[in-house]
Amino acid sequence: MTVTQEDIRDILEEADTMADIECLKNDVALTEQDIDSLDMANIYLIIEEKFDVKIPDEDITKLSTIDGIISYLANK
Amino acid sequence: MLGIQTIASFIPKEKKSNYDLKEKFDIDDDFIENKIGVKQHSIKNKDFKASDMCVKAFENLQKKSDINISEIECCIVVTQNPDYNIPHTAAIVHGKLDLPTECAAFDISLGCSGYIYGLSNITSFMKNNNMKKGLLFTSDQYSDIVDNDDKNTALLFGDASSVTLISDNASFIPIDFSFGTNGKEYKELMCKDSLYMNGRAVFSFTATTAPKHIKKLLDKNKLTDDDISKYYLHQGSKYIVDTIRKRLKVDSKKVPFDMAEYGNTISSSIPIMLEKDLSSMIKSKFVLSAFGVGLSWASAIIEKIK
Repeated sequence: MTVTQEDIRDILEEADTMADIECLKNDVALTEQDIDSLDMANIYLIIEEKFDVKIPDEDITKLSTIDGIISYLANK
Repeated sequence: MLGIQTIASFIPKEKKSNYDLKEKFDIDDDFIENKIGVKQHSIKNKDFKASDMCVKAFENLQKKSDINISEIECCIVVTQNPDYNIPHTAAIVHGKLDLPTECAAFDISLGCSGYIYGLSNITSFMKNNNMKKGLLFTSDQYSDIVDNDDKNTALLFGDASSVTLISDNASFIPIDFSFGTNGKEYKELMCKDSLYMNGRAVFSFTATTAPKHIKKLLDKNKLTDDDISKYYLHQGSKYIVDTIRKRLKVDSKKVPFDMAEYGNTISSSIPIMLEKDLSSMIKSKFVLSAFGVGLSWASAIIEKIK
Protein backbone atom coordinates (compact mmCIF):
# COMPACT_ATOMS: atom_id res chain seq x y z
CA MET A 1 0.00 0.00 0.00
CA THR A 2 1.13 3.55 -0.65
CA VAL A 3 1.51 5.64 2.48
CA THR A 4 2.93 9.14 2.48
CA GLN A 5 5.01 10.98 5.02
CA GLU A 6 1.99 13.25 5.58
CA ASP A 7 -0.19 10.23 6.42
CA ILE A 8 2.26 9.21 9.13
CA ARG A 9 2.56 12.74 10.51
CA ASP A 10 -1.25 12.92 10.68
CA ILE A 11 -1.21 9.73 12.75
CA LEU A 12 1.48 11.15 15.03
CA GLU A 13 -0.69 14.25 15.45
CA GLU A 14 -3.72 12.11 16.25
CA ALA A 15 -1.69 10.22 18.88
CA ASP A 16 -1.45 13.53 20.74
CA THR A 17 2.22 13.25 21.67
CA MET A 18 4.35 15.98 23.25
CA ALA A 19 6.58 16.06 20.15
CA ASP A 20 6.61 18.91 17.63
CA ILE A 21 5.38 16.86 14.67
CA GLU A 22 6.63 19.24 11.97
CA CYS A 23 10.16 19.07 13.33
CA LEU A 24 10.40 15.28 13.47
CA LYS A 25 13.18 13.77 11.39
CA ASN A 26 12.22 10.91 9.09
CA ASP A 27 15.30 8.81 9.69
CA VAL A 28 15.68 9.15 13.48
CA ALA A 29 13.92 6.86 15.93
CA LEU A 30 10.73 8.47 17.20
CA THR A 31 11.65 7.44 20.74
CA GLU A 32 14.69 9.71 20.41
CA GLN A 33 12.43 12.64 19.45
CA ASP A 34 10.20 13.13 22.52
CA ILE A 35 7.89 10.20 21.78
CA ASP A 36 7.85 7.59 24.54
CA SER A 37 6.92 3.92 24.66
CA LEU A 38 3.28 4.57 25.59
CA ASP A 39 2.91 6.98 22.65
CA MET A 40 4.45 4.35 20.39
CA ALA A 41 1.89 1.74 21.51
CA ASN A 42 -0.84 4.22 20.63
CA ILE A 43 0.78 5.06 17.28
CA TYR A 44 0.99 1.37 16.32
CA LEU A 45 -2.66 0.92 17.29
CA ILE A 46 -3.78 3.88 15.16
CA ILE A 47 -1.74 2.55 12.22
CA GLU A 48 -3.36 -0.88 12.63
CA GLU A 49 -6.84 0.64 12.71
CA LYS A 50 -6.27 3.16 9.92
CA PHE A 51 -4.61 0.79 7.44
CA ASP A 52 -6.31 -2.42 8.58
CA VAL A 53 -3.02 -4.21 9.22
CA LYS A 54 -1.73 -6.30 12.11
CA ILE A 55 1.71 -5.38 13.42
CA PRO A 56 3.19 -8.30 15.36
CA ASP A 57 5.48 -7.50 18.31
CA GLU A 58 8.43 -8.99 16.42
CA ASP A 59 8.03 -6.38 13.64
CA ILE A 60 8.09 -3.38 15.96
CA THR A 61 11.80 -2.69 15.46
CA LYS A 62 11.09 -2.12 11.75
CA LEU A 63 8.74 0.75 12.61
CA SER A 64 10.96 2.88 14.82
CA THR A 65 11.28 5.79 12.34
CA ILE A 66 8.87 7.58 9.99
CA ASP A 67 10.83 6.14 7.04
CA GLY A 68 10.62 2.69 8.62
CA ILE A 69 6.84 2.93 9.02
CA ILE A 70 6.39 4.04 5.38
CA SER A 71 8.62 1.25 4.15
CA TYR A 72 6.89 -1.37 6.33
CA LEU A 73 3.44 -0.37 5.13
CA ALA A 74 4.62 -0.26 1.49
CA ASN A 75 5.25 -3.99 1.73
CA LYS A 76 1.74 -4.72 3.01
CA MET B 1 -33.71 -3.16 46.36
CA LEU B 2 -30.29 -4.72 46.65
CA GLY B 3 -27.35 -2.49 45.84
CA ILE B 4 -24.42 -0.58 47.29
CA GLN B 5 -25.08 0.89 50.73
CA THR B 6 -21.56 2.06 51.47
CA ILE B 7 -17.90 1.37 50.66
CA ALA B 8 -14.66 1.47 52.62
CA SER B 9 -11.11 0.82 51.52
CA PHE B 10 -7.65 0.25 52.87
CA ILE B 11 -4.54 1.72 51.26
CA PRO B 12 -1.32 0.95 53.14
CA LYS B 13 0.50 4.03 54.43
CA GLU B 14 3.90 2.90 53.18
CA LYS B 15 4.59 4.19 49.69
CA LYS B 16 7.37 3.69 47.15
CA SER B 17 8.16 6.81 45.13
CA ASN B 18 8.55 6.52 41.37
CA TYR B 19 10.72 9.66 41.39
CA ASP B 20 13.38 7.53 43.12
CA LEU B 21 13.28 5.15 40.14
CA LYS B 22 13.84 7.76 37.41
CA GLU B 23 17.48 6.89 36.83
CA LYS B 24 16.97 3.13 37.08
CA PHE B 25 14.25 3.12 34.41
CA ASP B 26 15.43 6.16 32.39
CA ILE B 27 12.15 8.08 32.83
CA ASP B 28 11.36 11.72 33.56
CA ASP B 29 8.76 13.64 35.58
CA ASP B 30 6.47 13.97 32.55
CA PHE B 31 6.38 10.20 32.11
CA ILE B 32 5.62 9.70 35.81
CA GLU B 33 2.95 12.39 36.08
CA ASN B 34 1.30 12.46 32.67
CA LYS B 35 1.82 9.01 31.21
CA ILE B 36 1.66 6.32 33.88
CA GLY B 37 0.23 8.92 36.28
CA VAL B 38 1.62 7.20 39.37
CA LYS B 39 3.87 9.32 41.59
CA GLN B 40 4.05 6.67 44.29
CA HIS B 41 2.53 3.26 44.85
CA SER B 42 1.34 1.72 48.08
CA ILE B 43 3.21 -1.19 49.65
CA LYS B 44 1.64 -3.43 52.25
CA ASN B 45 3.23 -4.70 55.42
CA LYS B 46 5.49 -7.57 54.33
CA ASP B 47 3.58 -10.15 56.37
CA PHE B 48 0.11 -9.03 55.24
CA LYS B 49 -1.95 -11.40 53.14
CA ALA B 50 -5.17 -10.79 51.21
CA SER B 51 -7.34 -11.62 54.22
CA ASP B 52 -5.43 -9.15 56.45
CA MET B 53 -6.05 -6.42 53.88
CA CYS B 54 -9.77 -7.33 53.84
CA VAL B 55 -9.93 -7.07 57.62
CA LYS B 56 -8.33 -3.61 57.47
CA ALA B 57 -10.93 -2.46 54.93
CA PHE B 58 -13.69 -3.86 57.12
CA GLU B 59 -12.33 -1.98 60.15
CA ASN B 60 -12.59 1.21 58.09
CA LEU B 61 -16.17 0.28 57.14
CA GLN B 62 -17.05 -0.09 60.82
CA LYS B 63 -15.73 3.42 61.48
CA LYS B 64 -18.18 4.95 59.04
CA SER B 65 -21.19 2.67 59.33
CA ASP B 66 -22.97 0.67 62.02
CA ILE B 67 -22.46 -2.92 60.98
CA ASN B 68 -24.20 -5.72 62.81
CA ILE B 69 -21.95 -8.68 62.05
CA SER B 70 -24.70 -11.16 62.95
CA GLU B 71 -26.75 -9.85 59.98
CA ILE B 72 -24.10 -10.58 57.32
CA GLU B 73 -25.34 -13.43 55.12
CA CYS B 74 -22.78 -13.39 52.32
CA CYS B 75 -19.02 -12.72 52.09
CA ILE B 76 -17.26 -12.67 48.73
CA VAL B 77 -13.56 -11.95 48.20
CA VAL B 78 -12.30 -10.95 44.77
CA THR B 79 -8.57 -11.71 44.62
CA GLN B 80 -5.91 -13.37 42.50
CA ASN B 81 -3.43 -13.32 45.34
CA PRO B 82 -5.23 -15.55 47.86
CA ASP B 83 -3.70 -16.31 51.25
CA TYR B 84 -3.36 -19.95 50.18
CA ASN B 85 -4.41 -22.15 47.25
CA ILE B 86 -6.63 -23.98 49.72
CA PRO B 87 -8.82 -22.80 51.41
CA HIS B 88 -10.57 -19.86 49.78
CA THR B 89 -9.64 -16.49 51.28
CA ALA B 90 -13.31 -15.66 51.95
CA ALA B 91 -13.38 -18.44 54.54
CA ILE B 92 -10.35 -16.95 56.30
CA VAL B 93 -11.94 -13.49 56.25
CA HIS B 94 -15.17 -15.05 57.54
CA GLY B 95 -13.26 -16.49 60.48
CA LYS B 96 -11.26 -13.35 61.23
CA LEU B 97 -14.41 -11.19 61.25
CA ASP B 98 -16.35 -13.78 63.25
CA LEU B 99 -19.17 -13.80 60.72
CA PRO B 100 -22.19 -16.05 61.38
CA THR B 101 -21.99 -19.75 60.47
CA GLU B 102 -25.08 -19.23 58.26
CA CYS B 103 -23.06 -16.78 56.11
CA ALA B 104 -22.09 -17.97 52.60
CA ALA B 105 -18.43 -17.30 51.74
CA PHE B 106 -16.56 -17.78 48.47
CA ASP B 107 -13.85 -16.25 46.30
CA ILE B 108 -13.95 -14.87 42.80
CA SER B 109 -10.67 -15.16 40.90
CA LEU B 110 -10.49 -12.10 38.69
CA GLY B 111 -8.14 -9.15 38.29
CA CYS B 112 -9.01 -5.64 37.21
CA SER B 113 -12.56 -6.46 36.06
CA GLY B 114 -13.24 -8.21 39.37
CA TYR B 115 -15.20 -5.52 41.20
CA ILE B 116 -17.88 -5.30 38.51
CA TYR B 117 -18.12 -9.09 38.20
CA GLY B 118 -18.27 -9.23 42.00
CA LEU B 119 -21.03 -6.65 42.18
CA SER B 120 -23.15 -8.61 39.70
CA ASN B 121 -22.41 -11.91 41.46
CA ILE B 122 -23.20 -10.76 44.97
CA THR B 123 -26.43 -8.96 44.09
CA SER B 124 -27.66 -11.91 42.02
CA PHE B 125 -26.63 -14.47 44.64
CA MET B 126 -28.23 -12.52 47.46
CA LYS B 127 -31.42 -11.89 45.51
CA ASN B 128 -31.79 -15.57 44.56
CA ASN B 129 -31.24 -16.64 48.14
CA ASN B 130 -33.35 -13.93 49.76
CA MET B 131 -30.41 -12.36 51.61
CA LYS B 132 -30.44 -8.79 52.88
CA LYS B 133 -26.86 -7.96 53.83
CA GLY B 134 -23.56 -9.03 52.32
CA LEU B 135 -19.93 -7.97 52.00
CA LEU B 136 -18.01 -7.75 48.72
CA PHE B 137 -14.25 -7.54 49.28
CA THR B 138 -11.50 -6.81 46.76
CA SER B 139 -7.90 -7.42 47.76
CA ASP B 140 -4.69 -7.79 45.82
CA GLN B 141 -1.06 -7.44 46.82
CA TYR B 142 0.97 -7.13 43.66
CA SER B 143 4.04 -6.11 45.68
CA ASP B 144 4.43 -9.85 46.32
CA ILE B 145 4.56 -10.75 42.61
CA VAL B 146 6.04 -7.71 40.81
CA ASP B 147 9.61 -7.97 39.51
CA ASN B 148 11.18 -4.73 40.77
CA ASP B 149 13.49 -4.65 37.75
CA ASP B 150 10.64 -4.79 35.22
CA LYS B 151 9.80 -1.27 34.00
CA ASN B 152 6.42 -2.41 32.65
CA THR B 153 5.09 -3.32 36.08
CA ALA B 154 7.41 -2.02 38.82
CA LEU B 155 6.19 1.57 38.50
CA LEU B 156 2.51 0.86 38.23
CA PHE B 157 0.88 -1.37 40.82
CA GLY B 158 -0.12 -0.56 44.39
CA ASP B 159 -1.48 -2.75 47.18
CA ALA B 160 -5.02 -2.06 48.44
CA SER B 161 -8.30 -3.60 49.47
CA SER B 162 -11.93 -2.55 49.67
CA VAL B 163 -15.21 -3.71 51.09
CA THR B 164 -18.65 -2.84 49.74
CA LEU B 165 -21.68 -3.29 51.96
CA ILE B 166 -24.49 -4.69 49.83
CA SER B 167 -27.92 -4.37 51.40
CA ASP B 168 -31.63 -4.10 50.74
CA ASN B 169 -31.40 -0.53 52.03
CA ALA B 170 -29.13 0.64 49.24
CA SER B 171 -28.80 4.03 47.61
CA PHE B 172 -26.89 2.80 44.56
CA ILE B 173 -28.66 0.23 42.41
CA PRO B 174 -27.12 -1.66 39.48
CA ILE B 175 -29.21 -1.07 36.35
CA ASP B 176 -27.35 -3.32 33.93
CA PHE B 177 -24.09 -5.21 33.49
CA SER B 178 -22.10 -6.38 30.50
CA PHE B 179 -19.09 -8.69 30.41
CA GLY B 180 -16.48 -9.98 28.01
CA THR B 181 -13.45 -12.27 27.74
CA ASN B 182 -10.70 -12.93 25.20
CA GLY B 183 -9.06 -16.03 26.64
CA LYS B 184 -6.82 -16.49 23.60
CA GLU B 185 -4.74 -13.57 24.83
CA TYR B 186 -4.34 -14.70 28.45
CA LYS B 187 -0.54 -14.83 28.19
CA GLU B 188 -0.31 -11.05 27.70
CA LEU B 189 -0.85 -10.47 31.42
CA MET B 190 -0.04 -13.32 33.73
CA CYS B 191 1.98 -14.49 36.71
CA LYS B 192 4.05 -17.66 36.68
CA ASP B 193 6.95 -16.82 38.98
CA SER B 194 6.51 -13.06 38.76
CA LEU B 195 4.12 -10.72 37.01
CA TYR B 196 4.48 -10.36 33.23
CA MET B 197 2.63 -7.75 31.20
CA ASN B 198 2.86 -7.09 27.47
CA GLY B 199 2.15 -3.38 27.81
CA ARG B 200 1.46 -2.82 24.12
CA ALA B 201 -0.97 -5.74 23.87
CA VAL B 202 -2.86 -4.73 27.01
CA PHE B 203 -2.99 -1.11 25.85
CA SER B 204 -4.31 -2.04 22.39
CA PHE B 205 -6.90 -4.40 23.86
CA THR B 206 -8.15 -1.81 26.33
CA ALA B 207 -8.15 1.15 23.95
CA THR B 208 -10.15 -0.77 21.36
CA THR B 209 -12.45 -2.78 23.63
CA ALA B 210 -13.45 -0.54 26.54
CA PRO B 211 -14.93 2.45 24.65
CA LYS B 212 -17.01 0.21 22.36
CA HIS B 213 -18.17 -1.88 25.31
CA ILE B 214 -19.33 1.16 27.27
CA LYS B 215 -21.06 2.65 24.23
CA LYS B 216 -22.85 -0.63 23.51
CA LEU B 217 -24.09 -0.89 27.10
CA LEU B 218 -25.41 2.67 26.98
CA ASP B 219 -27.11 2.03 23.62
CA LYS B 220 -28.71 -1.14 24.97
CA ASN B 221 -30.20 0.88 27.82
CA LYS B 222 -31.19 3.74 25.49
CA LEU B 223 -28.88 6.12 27.34
CA THR B 224 -26.53 8.77 25.98
CA ASP B 225 -23.61 10.64 27.47
CA ASP B 226 -26.09 13.31 28.63
CA ASP B 227 -27.69 10.76 30.98
CA ILE B 228 -24.37 9.80 32.61
CA SER B 229 -22.87 11.87 35.41
CA LYS B 230 -19.51 10.09 35.58
CA TYR B 231 -17.47 7.26 34.11
CA TYR B 232 -15.46 5.40 36.74
CA LEU B 233 -12.82 3.62 34.68
CA HIS B 234 -10.37 1.11 36.09
CA GLN B 235 -7.22 3.08 36.87
CA GLY B 236 -4.83 1.10 34.68
CA SER B 237 -2.60 4.11 34.02
CA LYS B 238 -3.24 7.77 33.26
CA TYR B 239 -2.47 7.15 29.61
CA ILE B 240 -5.07 4.42 29.27
CA VAL B 241 -7.73 6.37 31.19
CA ASP B 242 -7.07 9.40 28.95
CA THR B 243 -7.12 7.23 25.81
CA ILE B 244 -10.48 5.65 26.67
CA ARG B 245 -11.92 9.06 27.52
CA LYS B 246 -10.76 10.54 24.20
CA ARG B 247 -12.14 7.58 22.25
CA LEU B 248 -15.43 7.84 24.13
CA LYS B 249 -15.44 11.58 23.34
CA VAL B 250 -16.62 12.56 26.81
CA ASP B 251 -15.74 15.55 28.98
CA SER B 252 -12.64 15.03 31.13
CA LYS B 253 -14.61 16.30 34.16
CA LYS B 254 -16.76 13.18 33.91
CA VAL B 255 -13.83 10.79 34.09
CA PRO B 256 -12.08 10.78 37.48
CA PHE B 257 -8.37 10.07 37.69
CA ASP B 258 -7.25 9.15 41.18
CA MET B 259 -4.31 6.74 41.22
CA ALA B 260 -1.40 9.20 41.43
CA GLU B 261 -0.70 8.65 45.12
CA TYR B 262 -1.20 4.86 45.39
CA GLY B 263 -1.03 3.22 41.93
CA ASN B 264 -3.05 0.66 40.01
CA THR B 265 -4.82 -1.31 42.73
CA ILE B 266 -6.42 -3.95 40.44
CA SER B 267 -10.01 -4.74 41.45
CA SER B 268 -9.91 -2.13 44.24
CA SER B 269 -9.41 0.83 41.89
CA ILE B 270 -13.11 1.47 41.19
CA PRO B 271 -14.41 1.03 44.77
CA ILE B 272 -11.62 3.33 46.06
CA MET B 273 -12.84 6.07 43.70
CA LEU B 274 -16.52 5.39 44.45
CA GLU B 275 -15.93 5.59 48.20
CA LYS B 276 -14.69 9.17 47.79
CA ASP B 277 -17.68 10.25 45.69
CA LEU B 278 -20.65 8.35 47.15
CA SER B 279 -21.57 10.83 49.87
CA SER B 280 -21.51 13.86 47.57
CA MET B 281 -23.10 12.24 44.55
CA ILE B 282 -26.35 13.66 43.24
CA LYS B 283 -29.18 11.40 42.04
CA SER B 284 -27.87 10.21 38.71
CA LYS B 285 -26.69 7.30 36.64
CA PHE B 286 -23.00 6.54 36.33
CA VAL B 287 -20.84 4.01 34.50
CA LEU B 288 -18.24 1.58 35.84
CA SER B 289 -15.85 -0.05 33.40
CA ALA B 290 -12.79 -2.22 33.96
CA PHE B 291 -10.46 -4.34 31.85
CA GLY B 292 -7.36 -6.46 32.38
CA VAL B 293 -6.18 -9.97 33.27
CA GLY B 294 -7.88 -12.68 31.22
CA LEU B 295 -8.14 -10.75 29.08
CA SER B 296 -11.38 -9.80 30.78
CA TRP B 297 -13.61 -6.77 30.81
CA ALA B 298 -16.84 -5.64 32.45
CA SER B 299 -19.02 -2.54 32.54
CA ALA B 300 -22.04 -1.54 34.59
CA ILE B 301 -24.56 1.24 34.87
CA ILE B 302 -25.39 2.20 38.45
CA GLU B 303 -28.12 4.60 39.56
CA LYS B 304 -28.29 6.63 42.75
CA ILE B 305 -31.93 6.40 43.75
CA LYS B 306 -31.96 8.23 47.08
